[in-house]
This record gives sequence, structure tokens and C-alpha cells, in this order.
Amino acid sequence: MSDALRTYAGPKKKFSRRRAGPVRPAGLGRALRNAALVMLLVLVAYVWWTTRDTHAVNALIPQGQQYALVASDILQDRGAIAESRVWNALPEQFRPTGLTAALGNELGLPEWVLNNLVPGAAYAVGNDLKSFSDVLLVTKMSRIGTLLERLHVFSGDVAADPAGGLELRDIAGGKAYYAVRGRVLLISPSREALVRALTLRPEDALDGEQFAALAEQGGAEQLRGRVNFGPDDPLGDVLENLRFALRIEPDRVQVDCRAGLSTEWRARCEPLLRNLSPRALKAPVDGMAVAAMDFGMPVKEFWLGIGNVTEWPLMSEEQWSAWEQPAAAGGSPSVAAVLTSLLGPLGPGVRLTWRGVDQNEIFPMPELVLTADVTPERLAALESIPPPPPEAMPWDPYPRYDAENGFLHVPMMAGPSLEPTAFADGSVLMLSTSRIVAEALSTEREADMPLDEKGNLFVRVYPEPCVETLVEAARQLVEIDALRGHDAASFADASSRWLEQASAVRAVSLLAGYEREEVQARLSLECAPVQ
Amino acid sequence: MRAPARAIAAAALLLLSAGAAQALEAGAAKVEITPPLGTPLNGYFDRLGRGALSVHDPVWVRCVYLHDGETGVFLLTADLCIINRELRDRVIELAPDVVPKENIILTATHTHSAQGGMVKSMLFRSVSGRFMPEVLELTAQRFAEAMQLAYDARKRGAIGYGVANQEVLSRNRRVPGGPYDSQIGVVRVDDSDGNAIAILANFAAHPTSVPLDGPDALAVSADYCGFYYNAIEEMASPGCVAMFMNGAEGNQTCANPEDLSGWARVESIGRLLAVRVKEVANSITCGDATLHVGYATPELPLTLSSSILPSSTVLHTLEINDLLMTFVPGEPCVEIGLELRRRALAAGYGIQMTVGLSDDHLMYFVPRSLYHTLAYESGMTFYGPGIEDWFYREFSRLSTKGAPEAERQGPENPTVEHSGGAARLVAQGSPYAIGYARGAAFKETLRGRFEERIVARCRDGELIPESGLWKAAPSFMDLTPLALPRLGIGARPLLTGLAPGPFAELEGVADGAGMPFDAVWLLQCEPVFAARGSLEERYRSAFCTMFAVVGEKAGAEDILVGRNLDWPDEEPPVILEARPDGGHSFVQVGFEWNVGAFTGMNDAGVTVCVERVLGLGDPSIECPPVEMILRTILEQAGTLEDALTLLASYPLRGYSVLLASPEGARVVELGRERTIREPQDDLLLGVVPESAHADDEARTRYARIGALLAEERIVAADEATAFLRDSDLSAPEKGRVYNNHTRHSVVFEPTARALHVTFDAAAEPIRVTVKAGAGS
Repeated sequence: MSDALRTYAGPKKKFSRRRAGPVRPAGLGRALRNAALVMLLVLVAYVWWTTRDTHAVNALIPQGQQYALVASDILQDRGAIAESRVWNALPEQFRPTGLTAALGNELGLPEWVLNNLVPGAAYAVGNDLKSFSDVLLVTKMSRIGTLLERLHVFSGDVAADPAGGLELRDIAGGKAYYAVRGRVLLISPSREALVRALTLRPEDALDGEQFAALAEQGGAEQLRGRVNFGPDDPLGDVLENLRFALRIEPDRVQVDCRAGLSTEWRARCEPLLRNLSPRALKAPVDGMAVAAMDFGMPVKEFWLGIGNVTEWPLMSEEQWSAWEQPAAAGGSPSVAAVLTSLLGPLGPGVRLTWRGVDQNEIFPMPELVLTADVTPERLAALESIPPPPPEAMPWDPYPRYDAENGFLHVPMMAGPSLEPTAFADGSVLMLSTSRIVAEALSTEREADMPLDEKGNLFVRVYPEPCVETLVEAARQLVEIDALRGHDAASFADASSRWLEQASAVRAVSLLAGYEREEVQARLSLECAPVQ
Repeated sequence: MRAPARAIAAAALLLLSAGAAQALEAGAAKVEITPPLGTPLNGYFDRLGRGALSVHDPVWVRCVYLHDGETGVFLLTADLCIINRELRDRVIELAPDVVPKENIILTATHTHSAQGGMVKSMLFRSVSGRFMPEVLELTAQRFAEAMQLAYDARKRGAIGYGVANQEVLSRNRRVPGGPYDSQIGVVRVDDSDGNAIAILANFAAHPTSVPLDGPDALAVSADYCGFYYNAIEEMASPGCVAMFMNGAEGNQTCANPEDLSGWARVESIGRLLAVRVKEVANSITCGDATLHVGYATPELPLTLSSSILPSSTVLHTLEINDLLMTFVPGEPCVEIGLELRRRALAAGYGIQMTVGLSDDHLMYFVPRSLYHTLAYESGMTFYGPGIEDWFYREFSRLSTKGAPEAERQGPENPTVEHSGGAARLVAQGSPYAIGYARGAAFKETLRGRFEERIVARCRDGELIPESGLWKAAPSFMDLTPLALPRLGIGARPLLTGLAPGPFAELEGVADGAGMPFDAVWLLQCEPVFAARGSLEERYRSAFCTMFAVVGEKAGAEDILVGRNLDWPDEEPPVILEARPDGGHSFVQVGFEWNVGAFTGMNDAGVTVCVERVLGLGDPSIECPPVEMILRTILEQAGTLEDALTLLASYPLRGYSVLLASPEGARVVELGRERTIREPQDDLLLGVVPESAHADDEARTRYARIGALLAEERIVAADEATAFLRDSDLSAPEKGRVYNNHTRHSVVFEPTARALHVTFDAAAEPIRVTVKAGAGS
């Protein structure tokens, strides 16, 4: 239309100079111009009329769906999301290649439809949490997009599906269906779900208040949602509901969640969650993988609480009692008795660190550090460990207190990486599986720094050094042909893939807490800097 | 005129060059290598890799440098448990560049109280302790320093050697009164003034005398060698370096001549040894010497531990005039040391000394005669029973005297004919050659069966014990590389009593097939283990039918034997015609992989058949599998009586064996008690249908064959063959004489030395006659 206007807008003088031959009568031109103007006005009126916003989005979204997701501005962000490096940081089998391809505009939707969706929120609702077969996507298109959609007949991928007057569109032979009501676009792989949405009674659709709650932006997230789990759904035995917000950046992804536990799991976790609220956590000793936890209870109660959840015999009251068996009269306590008496009362703040693996010990030995808050009375108890019996050899596995260095240690077998060693540092007890690590920490360690945010559990893993360390340990098995499923060549292949994969991620961290009967968690993945 | 001048000039040149060659230079030095406390001590698994807590006496590396004008050599002895590869490689890298690297010989005294921590392989760290690169580097640097100091201290020298006998300092630690090495070898190196620069002793006994029941269990010590050094250096001229080279000490340990205990005993041995060595040293006259260093890095025999142990090693000999020093990369038992000496003396050497623990450590080496024992030394021998021959051969190639020994050879391309559905192999010569022919001819089957029946089942966990450390291993560990050698060692006791012929034949099979001996032996023993263990079901179907008819019932043949071998697995059948040197020729009908004889006859008409009878108990593991014993009978027995006597000499159980010859036939039931049955009414069945040992199917089978035979007045080969093909469909599968498991049917005519063999009921029998061999 605009081309036509420009074509006929030139100066008359020029026109007459250029054209030879008989001159068109001025009356005819005017008439044509007027007719065109009328047609244009009619067309504009038609466009305006046919693309008016006649339907509210919420009126087309059913109530009571098990899940509802909202993408804030997915079209505007889709390129950036598709190109984010976080996808490459995921293991290959977990990469949502379909999703990233779709975001890169391979959805199967006509390009013109995609380009003219309103750059705003898109909603996805449904009930099938296993295969998402009934997911219903609802969003608004622009006026132009709405108009262009009417030209669908020109698209080979889209076919009309009258559906008893509902006027559906069939994309790619039944792969998905869509319909437009006013400027609202509804898409679903399920024709039934789409038909249901188009025939909702007002009382079955989201009301304004429900829709506002759904549409409310929590922060800078690109995707948020809520899921209500049924007992047969994946995770349904553990969770009752889940709300989350997802933010994908070029080199980072973060998910914030709030989840309500199922009745059964609330009961199982009751010993752990009783009166629990987020607490100030201290940073663990640096390592490849660290955890800090504070469940407001000493280690023993926490251990047994975990045992209650997992039902592992190793974490049962009976097992703990067996370990706690006191020494026979005149004898020294067993290693297990010392460890349980030492560790049991520690807490409530406990930190764990995996520093690495001593690859040179008689077998590759993980180097672990436990740091825990401890009362002065417990610290004093360190020094009161009874000495070994006189007939004990220096290497016999009795706990011994080295007053000169302030170390409590237990000679075990092999070298120093198999010698549990503990020492006190202010109000903190440090225990390492390795004497070497303990000695280093006794001189190098900085004071415990609080974490920025409160919680009950903090975990951070640096995948690259973890994988490097594990590969190095596994290589020792490969050298003697004792790693199941691998020979030297296949291990070289596999390990290079693992290392490449791990090098894409700098860190994965989780901060979780429990408050108001909800588990709150923030999971983030940071990509490694580009080399 | 010119010819005499040339002769005089040549003679002068010769004298000059000879003089130059014999201008011996020698130097010696010692450097302490005591490790830092906390370093693990190598030698005992029981220490579990714990670190040293104290130093009882320092440990040293001692070096002598010798150069005769042409050949230079560094000989180092270190107070270490072993010379491991990492150490040797690093020492060679750091060594002063004054002699060829091949002329650096390293030996360990084998003290069990010096540093470990120098072995990188995870598997060996359970004994040598955590790998400590810094200890390895420090120790290697001290070795290099000792070489440099010995070189720097070189001066015009003279050398001499001698031996003494001892009867009280060492003993055989495995067999009371067993063989021990009574020789103490001594090498004395003097300077030009006659002062001793170094005194080297060669004596075979484990330095494991440090008391382990107290805190000194984790003390650094050179063991009795430390006391020996001190005593020698006190007695000798100042600056003399006492050196100690352990001998063929695999099964040798220190005696206790003064009946002492603790450190007093350790001191006593060192002191008494030093006194004896000094006596010899004092009697030695030193002079010039010609040196020769033999060096090779040969491929080792195949081993089941190939993923753990190396496939080649370092061998050294050092000749000083007519003294031959033979350096063995591990711990040879005394029998091997004594044989090396016997061969060296026979080759023209005046004195021979075996030095163990040199340049490498491939564990123990037992002679063939001890291979079957479950003693520690045998259990730590990984390169097969032929390792002693390998040493004899390889050292003969490094020595300048005597002829180098040739490798045992077998026919490279044995001819295998195929007829009647079976492979037919004619093999003659030594039992080794016969075995080699089988191995070479059927290597694919042998290797395939081993992979399938042993290796694959290890990988699946079926043959991995479910106890102890095996069970504790995490699931990502594949224990096959550890389990295979242990299985091989576990099967060795079944070699007990195996005659030399079949033993050599097995070695031939292994070499011919390119397999470790233990692999071939495991394959032979698998049915026995299976019948005793959880695989019983698989082999439960190993049942047979066998009979003999004699006297008038056998007609003109006098005696006729028939047998069906029923076997659970389809196996490629083989007729082997063996003509061993020094034994009876025989024909054996069986399978490609099986060296033993389930069915066979020799050129004296001695016939053997065997059947597993469950009611007679589990097969014995105190002796070779029954088929290996029958194979021995075929080679050795000339009469039925011989065969019965040989069979009686083994503690077999679980079988019924039919033995026959032109003189008659007997069935020997090998149960808790032995029963020998003779023919009744000219008929002898492998199992009596009424026997309590027989199961229902055997009763049905034998009742049927008994009835068939009883119906005939005279049974000839054709009838016997027909009876063996009888398949009474009304009987259960295993109750039929000829059934789905029948792998071969054979009718023997012992008098005619002929067999009629069929592998298929529809085929015409193959007639095979046993031709007399050279040894018959």
C-alpha cells in the first residue's frame, strides 16, 4: 500500500515532461486516486477490525492445571538463550538440543508467526508431567502478526482444521495445532487440549487474580512456573509442589526454587526439619567440592536424621550405638568409638571439603576435611583421650593426642593420607582424613568467613579439578587393565571427552534452606571463562 | 728378513696391547641412602605400607668401578629390597658418562627394612608403600654420587676371587634339610699397594632377620648385611668398602648358628659371614684381569600377569677372568642358582656366582620341579615352569665360554588332515614337540576356549571369589588381571605327580599356541574345577558308556573295548597320533584343546577310557586331572599291570576308568575306596547297572548296552560299533547309549592295535592303527 502511494505522489510537471503521447484527462486520475484512497481506508478498517484484541489471555487458560510456566520475554531473549554457553556445559545427554534448536527458530512454526508474536509473556500449562503431551502454549501476537496469520493459506506447513467451527490450524501434519482468538495465539501438540482451551467456560478459566499471580514477574528471570505434583508424577512421591524461576545468561544459569514436600517426606524428614529455618552458614575450607550445613542440631542427630530419610543401615541408631561401644576396662577406645564421641556432639555448623586425591598413597585416597563448630568443653575433651595401652605399638590404631602440635590422630595403615588427624582452631574443630592436609591447614587456614546468604545447606563443586582428579585415579587402574569397560585406548578417548566437558563449567553451586514448610533453593551453574 | 721383523713388531704390539688391557683401574665408594623417617619400608605386606619410625642402622649404596683398559663397569650394591624399574631408569639417567650405560649393574641386598616408596604401580604399592617421588630421586642421586666417587677414587688396581663353603649360615626355608647354597663367593679388589679397596661377598639368604615383634619392625636397617659391612670394614684396611651381593635366595634364609634371638641373631649372622669372607679374602692373590660384560634385554616367557608384569627385562653377566657372575632380575630359588653354577663350571669357568635381585624385580623364579607347590615362592612365580630354562639359555648367550643354548623348537607348521569329521594330527619327537604341534595346529581353538571359559567368566565375575578383598573391591574395578594369575597359581597343585612327558607336552602346547603355560593348564583343569564347584550343572552331563568283551565273546580278537564319550559342549574333534621319544606311541581321540586322554590306546595295546561317576565323589585336586594321568599311562604302560600300577599311584577320585590290553580288561572305580572289577561272563561294563554309585540314567544306559551285548554270542568290531550307536528313544535322553552329547564312539582292538572311530552315527568308522614308535 505504501508503494502505491509513493508511485502516485510525483510532481505533475515531471510526469508530463517524461511522457510522450496523449495526456490522461485530469478527472480520471483524480477518480482513480479517490478510489484507491477509499480502498485503503476500507483495508485499514478491515485490519483494525479483524486484529482487534477481543479475547483476554486468561480466559483461554484452564484453571487447575498441574503445571503452569511463564516465559517473560522469550522471543526477545531467544537468540541469547540459544547461544548461551551453559548448554555446552551440560553433559551431552542432558543438553536440551531440541529446545535450543527451537529457540533458534526451528519450532516448526511459520517464521512469520514467530516473528510477529507479541514480545511479552508466553504461558505454558498442562497436566502431563511425564511427556508434556498436553502442553498448551498461550501468547499474544501483534496486530500485524494477527493479520499475517490470516494469510496462513500461503504456508505449505499449515493446514486448516475447521474442528466444528473452532477453526484450528494443523502444523506439519498433526505435529501441533494452533488457533487464534483475537490477538491471542494458542498452540498445543494436543488437539484435544487446544479444543478444550477454546471452549472453556468462564468459571473454568483463570480469573483475573489468578492470572495476575501467574503473570507476576519475580525478578530478572526468563522462565518461571509452578508445578503441583500428583503421587504418580515424577518426583511426586517427594514433592507436593514446586515453584521456580530460571535465568539464563551468556555464561551462567540460575534456578530459584521453592518446594513443598509431600506428606510422606515431610514425615520422613521431620527429625531434620523440626523448627528449622535458614541460618548463617560459614564458608568451608577451599576445595574442589565443598559443603556447609547447619540444621540446628549436632552431627549425631543430623546423621541419624539422614538415616531416617534414606533408611541406610549405616546411618541407623543401632549402628551408631555399636560404634559408640566404650572401651573395655583398662583398654583404649576403638577408632570408631573415638570418632563417634568426637564427631557426634559437633555442630550445629559443619563444613565438608574434598581437597583432592592423594594419587601416590598405596591406593588413591581422597583428602577430606571436616570443619565443625564446637564448644570449649568438647575441645578440651580432645586432650583427655586416654593414651594407648603400654603394649601398643606406635602404629597400632589407637587414637593418640600429640600435645606438642595439638593434634589428635589415629595411625591406620599406609602413609599419612590414611591417618585421620584433628586439631582445634579457636571454636572450630578441623578433622582431615590426611595428616598432610591437617598439618597444612593448621598453618594456612584463614578464619571462617560467613556466606553471603543464609541457608541450611550450601554445596559448591568445581567440576574440572574433580574430573581431572578422578581421571588421574582411574588412569592408575587402566595401567593395570583393571578399569571395567575400558582399555587404554578407550579410556584415553573417554577421559578426554570428560575433561573437555568438565572444563566448560567453572562451578556448580546450591544454596538451600527450609522455611515456612518449604524448601528454598538456588542452583547456579557458571561457565568457565573463555580462553 | 722382513717377515721376522714383522713378527717381532706384531708380538711387541700384542704385548703392549695386552698390557694396556690388563692395566686394571679400580675405585670404590659408598654413600648413605637412609631415607627420611616416614618413608615406607619395602618387603612385607603385613606392614601395610606404614612409614619408618626409626633408624636402627643406616643403609647404603656401595659401588665398585673396574676398568681393564677396554671394558669399564660400575657394579653397585644397595641396601634395598629390590631394584625396581623406576629406580634403575633414573640411576641410568643420572650416571656419570664414563662407562657405557649397559655396563652399569645394580643389585639389591634384599633387606626388608629399607625404603620403599619408589614403585609407582598401584598394585605393588601395597608392599612398597606410597609412591614418594622425592625418595626415588634422592636415592637415585645417591647411586649416581656413589658411581662418581668410585670413579674419582680409581687407581691402579688388582683383583682376585675365591669361594668358601658354609654349612651353618643359611638353610632352605621351605623344605627342612632341603637344598641350600653352601658357597660363599668373595671378590677382592686391591690397590697397587695391596690394600683392599673393596671386598664383595656373594651369599644366598634372605635378609629377613630383623625382629618384627617390637617397635623395630618399622626401623630402617640393612639387616645382617649391615653387621657384615661393619665387621669387614673393621677387619680390612682403612677405606675398604665392604659389599654384599645376595645369591639365589628365593627359598634360602639365614640359619641361627649361635641360637640367638632378636638383634643378637642378626649381628651373629653378619659377623660370622664377615669372618668367613675375610678368611677367603685373605687367601686371595690379586692380579690383573680381563673384564667382559654381557648385557641383553630379552623378551620374557608369556605370563598370565601381562598387564601387571613386564614382557622384557635386563640381564647382565660380568666375567672377571674365569669368574662368571650371573645377575638375575628377581629371586631365583637355590635350585636354579646351583644349576647355573653347574653349567658354568661345565662350560669352563673356574667360579660362578649367581647374584639375585639385580637390575629388575620380576618376583620369584622356582624350578620346574617346584612349580606345582603352593609355597610362597611358587605362588610368586609368574613366568611359567620354563623360566629356569629361559635363564639357562639367555645366560649361555651372554657368556663367552661354552656354547649358547638353542631355544626349544617344535614343528612350525604341523600337518593336520581332516577325515571323518575330525582333525587328524600326527606328531612325533619329544613330548614337547608333540605338544608344540598340537598348540600350533589348534592355537585358535586353544586361545578361544581360554578366552571363553576363563577370561570371559572372570570379567563377568563368575570366577571371582566373593570374599575378602575381592568382595571389597568397588564395582568399577575389573579384577580379571588379578584373578587370572591367582587362578593359574591355584591350578598348579594339580600338576603334582604329573609325569615329565605330559608336563613337557603341556609346555609345548603353550609355546605352540603362543599362550602362557598357566593359561593352558587352567584350560585343562577347568572341567575338574567345574565339577567340584558352582559350575557342576554345566558338567553334570559329562557321562559316557564303556565296556569290554573278552574271551570267547570277543571271538578272534580276544578282547574288544567300546566306548562313547559324552561331553556337554560341542568341541572340534581330534585324532592325535603321538610318537614320543622314549615312550610308547599312542593314539588319542579327543578335542583340540585337551592334552589329556579320555580315550586312547598305545602301541602295546594298552587302552584307556574314563567316565565321570557322580556317586564316586568330587574329582580330586591333589593330583592332575584324570585324563592327564591316562595320557601318562598311554606313554608309559606296556602292560595292563603297568597301567593299573600307574593309576594306583595317584589319589584320584570321582571316576570309573576302564583299562585294557591284550592281556585283559579291568574297570577301576575311583571312589572313597577303590574297586577293581574284572569281566563277568566275558563282559565288563564301565558302570554296573545295579551299582549304588550309578544314577538312574547310567543304570538305564548300562542295562541297555549290557542287554545288547549279552544277546550276542560273539561280538566283533562291527557289532560293537552298532551297539554304541543304539539310541533307544523310549529312554530318557541321558539314558540312551548314543545321545545328543555323544562326541565320539570308539571300538578298540587291543590285540590288533586298531581303533574304529566315529564322530557321527551315520558315518563309516575310521580305522586307525597304532604304529610302534621309536621308544616302544
